[in-house]
Amino acid sequence: MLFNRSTTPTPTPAATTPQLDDNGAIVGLRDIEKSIPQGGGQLFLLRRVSLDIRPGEFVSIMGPSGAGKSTLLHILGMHDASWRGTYTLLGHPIHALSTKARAALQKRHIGFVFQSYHLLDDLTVYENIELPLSYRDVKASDRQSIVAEILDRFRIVAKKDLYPSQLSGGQQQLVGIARAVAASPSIILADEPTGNLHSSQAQEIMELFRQLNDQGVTIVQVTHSEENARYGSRVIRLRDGLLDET
Amino acid sequence: MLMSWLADVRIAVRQLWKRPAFTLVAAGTLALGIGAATALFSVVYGVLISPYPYARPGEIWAPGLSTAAGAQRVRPYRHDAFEEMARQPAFGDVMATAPGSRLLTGGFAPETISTIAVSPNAFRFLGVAPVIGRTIQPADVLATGEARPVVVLSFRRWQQAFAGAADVLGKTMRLDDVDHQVIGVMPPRFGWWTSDGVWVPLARTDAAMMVFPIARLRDGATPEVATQQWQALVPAIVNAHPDQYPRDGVKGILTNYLDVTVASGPMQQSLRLLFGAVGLLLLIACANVANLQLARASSRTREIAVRLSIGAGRGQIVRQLLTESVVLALIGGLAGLAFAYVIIEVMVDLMPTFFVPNEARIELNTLALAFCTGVSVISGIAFGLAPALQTSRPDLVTALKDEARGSSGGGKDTTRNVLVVAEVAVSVVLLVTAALTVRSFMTLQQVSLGFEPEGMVSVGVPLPPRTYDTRESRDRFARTLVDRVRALPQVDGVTIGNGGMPFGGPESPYAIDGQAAVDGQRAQVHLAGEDYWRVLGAPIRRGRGFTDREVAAGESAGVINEAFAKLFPPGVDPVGRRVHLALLAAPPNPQVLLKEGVSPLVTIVGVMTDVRNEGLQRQPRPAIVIPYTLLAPTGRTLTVRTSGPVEPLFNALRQQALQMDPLLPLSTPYTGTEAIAEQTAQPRFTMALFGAFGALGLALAMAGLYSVLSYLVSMRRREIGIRLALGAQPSQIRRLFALTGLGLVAAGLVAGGIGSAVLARVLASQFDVFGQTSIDLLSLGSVGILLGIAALAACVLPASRAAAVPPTESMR
Repeated sequence: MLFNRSTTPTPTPAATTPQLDDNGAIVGLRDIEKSIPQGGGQLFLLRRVSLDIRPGEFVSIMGPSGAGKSTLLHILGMHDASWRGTYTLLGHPIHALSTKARAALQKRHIGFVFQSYHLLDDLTVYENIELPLSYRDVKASDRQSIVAEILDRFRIVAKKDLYPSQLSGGQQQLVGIARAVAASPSIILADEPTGNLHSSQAQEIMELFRQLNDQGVTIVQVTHSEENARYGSRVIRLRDGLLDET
Repeated sequence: MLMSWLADVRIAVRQLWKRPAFTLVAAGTLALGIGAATALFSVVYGVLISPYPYARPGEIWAPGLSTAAGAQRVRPYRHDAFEEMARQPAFGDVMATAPGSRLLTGGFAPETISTIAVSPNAFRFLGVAPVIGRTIQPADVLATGEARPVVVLSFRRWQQAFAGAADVLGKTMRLDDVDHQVIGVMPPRFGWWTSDGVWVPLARTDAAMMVFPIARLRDGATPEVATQQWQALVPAIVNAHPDQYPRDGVKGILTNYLDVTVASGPMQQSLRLLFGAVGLLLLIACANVANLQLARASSRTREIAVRLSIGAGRGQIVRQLLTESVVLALIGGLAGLAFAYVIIEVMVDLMPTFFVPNEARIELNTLALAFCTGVSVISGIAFGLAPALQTSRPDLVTALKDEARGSSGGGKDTTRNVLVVAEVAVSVVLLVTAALTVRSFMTLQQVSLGFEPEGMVSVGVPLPPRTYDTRESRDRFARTLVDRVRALPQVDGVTIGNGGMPFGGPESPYAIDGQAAVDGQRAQVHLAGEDYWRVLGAPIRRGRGFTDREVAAGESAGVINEAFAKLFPPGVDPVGRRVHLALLAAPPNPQVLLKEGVSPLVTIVGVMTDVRNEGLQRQPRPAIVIPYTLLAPTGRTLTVRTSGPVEPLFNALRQQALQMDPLLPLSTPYTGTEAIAEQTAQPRFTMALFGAFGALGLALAMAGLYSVLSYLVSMRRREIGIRLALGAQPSQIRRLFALTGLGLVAAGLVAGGIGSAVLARVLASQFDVFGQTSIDLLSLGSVGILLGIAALAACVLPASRAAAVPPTESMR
C-alpha cells in the first residue's frame, strides 16, 4: 500500500478562478489537426478534433496505441506548437498567441504528470516540488511554506531529503503529482500516470486524482485502463486520430 | 534573484560532484588552459606591465639623441651637460647615474662588485624607501663636490656580505681601497642598474664624467614642451664637446623610460607571442570542454524537457547551465593556479636574466588571481554558451516520451563537427608557430660561427686600477700571465684581450686612410695577443697575424675581418693600408691607459675570416684586432685553447692568476660552448615554451578529437549493428568512420593552414623574432600527419570495438 485511505492526502482546489469561454469551458478545441510528413504526403495524427472541457471535469482520453492520445495531451499542455485549428484555454486563444505568451499561460495554468514520473535525479524530493515555484518567481519564504504544506498534505515530509532513486515507483509518482499541484494549476494533464505502477499503487494514485478532482481541480488523463477511466467523469476515445466521444 | 542564483550554484556543484569522471576530465583540461594563461599573465605583468617598484615609472623620461644613423634613446652625457639639463624649465627633477664597478676587499673575499654612483636626489626621484637606515642625501656630497665615502647596499649584497645582519649600519666596506660606511639597505625589488651591487654618491668634481640622466617633468609641462627645450639645448652640448657626440643632423629626443628599458625587444616580442599562444591553448581547452558539454547535453535532454514542461523559461535553463559551466571553469581555474605556479617556476628558470629588468618580479600576485578568476568565468561562459543555448530548446514531445533514446539531433552533430574543425584549426596555428620556433632555433644552431668554440676556456681578469695604475704594470701582468698559462699542459694557445672572444668589446669611430671619416661609423676593436687566431680557431684569409715582436712592442698593427675588408674600395687590397682609430687618439675614459706616443693610424697586416661577433642572429660587424699592448683597460679576458678536456683548466687558470696576485677578483671561468649557449638562450627560451605549449595544444586537440569522435561512434552503435547484420565487414565499418574523422581533420588543417598564413602575414613583424616569418609546407605537413594519426586512432579504435560487438547486442 502506498498509503492508507485514512492517511490519503487532502489536496486543495486550484487557487485561480478560471476565466471560461462562451461555452463555459476551461478548454475549447475546434478542428485540431496534426500531421507529419511521410513518403511525400502527410500522415495525420489528429483530424478535426473538437471538444470542450468544463471546470472540475475529470476527463479520460482512451484509445489504442497510435490513436493520437499523447499527441492530443501534448497539444493541450502546449509542448507541441505545430498543429492547426483553434485552441482556447481559459478564454485565451492559444492558436493566436506567441511562443512567449503560450509559455506564460502554460506556466500559470497547467500541471503535468508523466508516466515515468520524470523527477530530476539530482534534486531531492523537496527540491523537485519546489522547482515549479522557483520557475514562477515565487519568493523563497513563500516557496518554503507552500512546499512544507504540500509535503505535509501528501504525507511525504519524511522523504523530503531523499533523491528519486531512493523512492519506490509509487512514491516517485506521488512526488510527481505533488510537483504538478505545487503551483496550483487550473488543469492537470496526466499521461498514463499509473502506466509504470503495479495495481495497488495505481489504485492509490487514482484515488489521489479523484480527491484532487473532488476539490475542484480539472484533470485530463491519458490511459489504457478502463478501470482508471472509471475514476473520471467523462471518457473521450480516439481512433486513428479521430474523436469518438462516449 | 540572489537566492535563486545561489540555488543554481548549489545544484551545479551537486551535478559536478555526482559525475566525478566528467568533472575531472573537463576541469583538468581547463586547468591546463587557464593555468598557462595565468602563468603567462604573471610573466607579462611582472616583466612588461609593472616591472618597476619606482614611483610613477610612466612619468620618467630619458633624454636621447637621434641622427640619420639611428636613435640613441638612452645614452650618457658629460656631468656638466647633465647640470645644464636640470636647469631647463620643463624638467622638474633630473637625476644622474654613473654605472661602474669597484674592487671589494678588506674583510671580504676579493670581488669586483657593481657600484652605481647616483646624484644625491636619486632615491627621492625614484621614490623607494630603504628597509634599514637611510638613502643617499644631498649632504653626502660635500660643498667641494667630493662624495662622502658612504654606501647603500642592495638587498642581495646585504644578504651575501652581511648575512642580513640588522646591525649592518655603520659597518665598513672597502671599495677600490677606500673604506665606505654602510648607511642603508634597499628592499629586495629595488634594482637600479644592479640587483646585487651597491650605490654611492656621485661626486661633482669631474665635469667630464659621463652620466646617464633621466628626468621628471615639472607640473603642467607637457612632453612636447620638454622635447622642444631639450632640442634647443642639444646643439650647445654637442658643439661644446663634438668628439663625444654624433654631429651630423643630431636632434634631441625624449623617450618614456618604460619604453626603453622594459625587457628587451626580443623578450617583449616572445612574451607577446607566447601570450597569444596560450590564448590559443585556452581556446582549444574551451572547445574540448564545449564538446564534452554537448555530448553530456544529449543525456540531459529529458531533464531539460521536464524542467521546461513544469514551467522553466528558456532563460532560466540557460542560466542554470551557464552556472554549471562557470562553476566547472572555476574549479578548473583553481587547479590551474597550481599548474600556473609550476609553469612560472619553469619559465623563471629558463628565462635569460639579461633580457629582463632587475626589478621584475614574476609571481602569482593578487592581480594574477583576479586574472585567473576572470579568465575562468569568461571561459565558463565561452564553452558553456553554445551547449546551453542548444540544450535549452529540446523537442519536448520526443524528449518526454518514455522510449526517447536521448540521441543527439543533427544540429548538435553539426555543432560538434564545427567545434572539432575549429579545434584542429587552432591547434594547427599553434603547432605551426611552434614549428617555426624550432626551425628558427635549429637554423641558429647550424649557423656558421667562423670560429671553434669547443676547446676554448675564458676567464675574466679585472685588474684593480689603484694597484695596477700604469700601463706598464698592466701589460707586465698580462704578459706574465699569458706566459705562465702557455706553459700549462695541453694548452695549445693563449691570448688576452678586452672581450671580443668573440662577442662584446669596445667600438671606435674609424676612417680608412685616404677617406673622410663618416659620422656614426664605428668598428669593433678587439685587443689580442699573437695566439688570438689559433685560440679562436678563426683562420687568416690574407696576410698574417701578429708577430711576437709586434705584440711585445705595442706596434700599431691590425688584422681586420672580411666585413671590414668589404668597406675598402673594390679592387683595393686592405693589407698594407692604414686605418685611423679614434680610440687610439682619445681613450673613452681615464681608466683606460694608452701607450705613450702610439699612432692612431693602424697598419693592416692581415684579413681574418668573419666571426659572428654580434651574436648568432646578426651578420658579423666590421672588426679590427690590435695588440693588447696598445691600450690597457682594467677589465681583461684571458682565453685559452686546449686539445684536452676543458674542466681541469678552470682551476689551473685561476691558480696561475691568483699566484701572481691573491687579491685579484677573478670571474668564474666559462667555456666557448657556454658562451654560445648564452647567445642562444633567448631563442631556446622561446622555442622551449612554444614547443611545450604546442605539445600541450596538440595533446588537448588529440584528446578532444578522440573523445568527440569516439562519442559520435558510440552514438551510432545501433547503426553499426544494423550494417553488420546486413553483411558489412568490420573493415568497411572502420573505413567508414576513419573517413569521417579524417574529413574533419582535413577541414581543420585547411582552415588552420589559411589561418597560419594570415597570421604570419599580419604578425610578420612579431615573427621576426624567430628569424623567419613564413610558414612552410614541412611544418604544416608534420602537423597534419600528427593530427591525422590522432584522428585515425580516434575513429578506428571505437569503430573496431563497435564492430566487434555482435549485431544483436548493439541493436538492443
